[in-house]
Amino acid sequence: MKKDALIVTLIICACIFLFSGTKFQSVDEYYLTNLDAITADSHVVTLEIRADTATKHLARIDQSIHPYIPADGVMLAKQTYVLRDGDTVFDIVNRAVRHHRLQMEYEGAEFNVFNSVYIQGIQHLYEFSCGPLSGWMYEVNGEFPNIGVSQYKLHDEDTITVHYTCDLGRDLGYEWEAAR
Amino acid sequence: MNSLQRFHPLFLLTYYALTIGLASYMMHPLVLAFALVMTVLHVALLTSFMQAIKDVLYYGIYGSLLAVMYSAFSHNGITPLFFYNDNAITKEAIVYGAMLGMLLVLLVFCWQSLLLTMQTNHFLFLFTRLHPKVALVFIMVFRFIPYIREHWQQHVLAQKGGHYFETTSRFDRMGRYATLQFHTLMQAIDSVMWKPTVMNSKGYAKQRTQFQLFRWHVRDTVIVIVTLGAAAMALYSVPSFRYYPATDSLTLPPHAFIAIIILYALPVVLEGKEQLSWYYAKSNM
Repeated sequence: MKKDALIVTLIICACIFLFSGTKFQSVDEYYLTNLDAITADSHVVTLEIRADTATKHLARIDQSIHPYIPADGVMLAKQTYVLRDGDTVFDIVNRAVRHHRLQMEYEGAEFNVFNSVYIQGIQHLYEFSCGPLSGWMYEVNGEFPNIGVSQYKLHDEDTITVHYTCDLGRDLGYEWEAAR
Repeated sequence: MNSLQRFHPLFLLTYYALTIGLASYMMHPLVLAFALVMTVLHVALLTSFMQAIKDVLYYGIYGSLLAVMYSAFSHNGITPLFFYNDNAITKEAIVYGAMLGMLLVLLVFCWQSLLLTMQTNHFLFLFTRLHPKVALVFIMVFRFIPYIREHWQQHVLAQKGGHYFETTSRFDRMGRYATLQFHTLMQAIDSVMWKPTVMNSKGYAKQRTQFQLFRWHVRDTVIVIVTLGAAAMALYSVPSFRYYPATDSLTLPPHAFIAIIILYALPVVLEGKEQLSWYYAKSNM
């Protein structure tokens, strides 16, 4: 009976594995993301990833993460990327981190009620690493859109900055709708 | 008889709560590995080595499954091995999953060790003074599964004698096992449900107390001091082990190691000493 229970468990695991879809990539294959060459008629956006607030509150962050937080807070320097048709903020961020071999973990849009990708961590700096009000936020052209990162459709010449906040955006000058 | 049963039930409950709680809290690989080896040895000394090894292999498979599945949910770690559906499967996540699997197997064996050591009368003694209903709830919770296992083995042997499982279809045999399990479970629940009525009729709910079989001795004081001292030393000296983003190196200061040995090897040393004395005495007959 115990053997039968084990066989049934293994069959269920195999089914979950097969039906969830299988796409295996080696580390080099995954990071082999070529950025489109910028031409005269390309639509472009600029992207920067910063963790300034994390550098100001290092005492709250576990010591094991300190080596991965740059002293100047710049995780990815400002750079221009080609904007493809229908690209969202997440598409640009994903392409950029893969090209620059940065670690990123995110939750797919199908796993939350907001129907948007949720960025959990970049370069091992995760939500709640700097306290219960910490996490990643993004601004486009100086404003914080109140929609998910994979729902915001970009336009030509947009400027994206992905910030780490330790105080739900208040340390970045953002006030939530309810507080206004 | 289990050598730990000489001690007061309060110490036994405290000891098992401490060992399980500390291992779960510290999550240090060396502590988990040592605790698992000692607990398996203790169960092996009380039952049989072959059965303990079979159980380790059986539950180890579930632990390994947990290790593999965990890496599908956590993608932190500086060492990606490969990418599955655009998510990194990292060495650190696999290591943490393996430790969770080891903790699961440890919990199973700690539970077996606890049930082999603490009988119904231990629970009745401890909790009847608090409230008879609390005692009954604990007995139902702790003794329910061993009760089912004992009766299940009897029922299976009886049905095998009647050729109940002799069918050519594997699935038919599985269905008959499932039916027999259902009936065993119903019988166990029925028996457990009647127990409060029986105890109530004997007056346990009306100020009647359990006859005190267990008295506090000097040896209980000594072992409590030793155990609490070792637990405090372990809590203070075992460094917190980080799995992310990079796994820490496997080191333990010597005093932490001594504390862990004292805490987790205690049942094995006591039981081993008793069994050696027994075999020596038997050899002289």
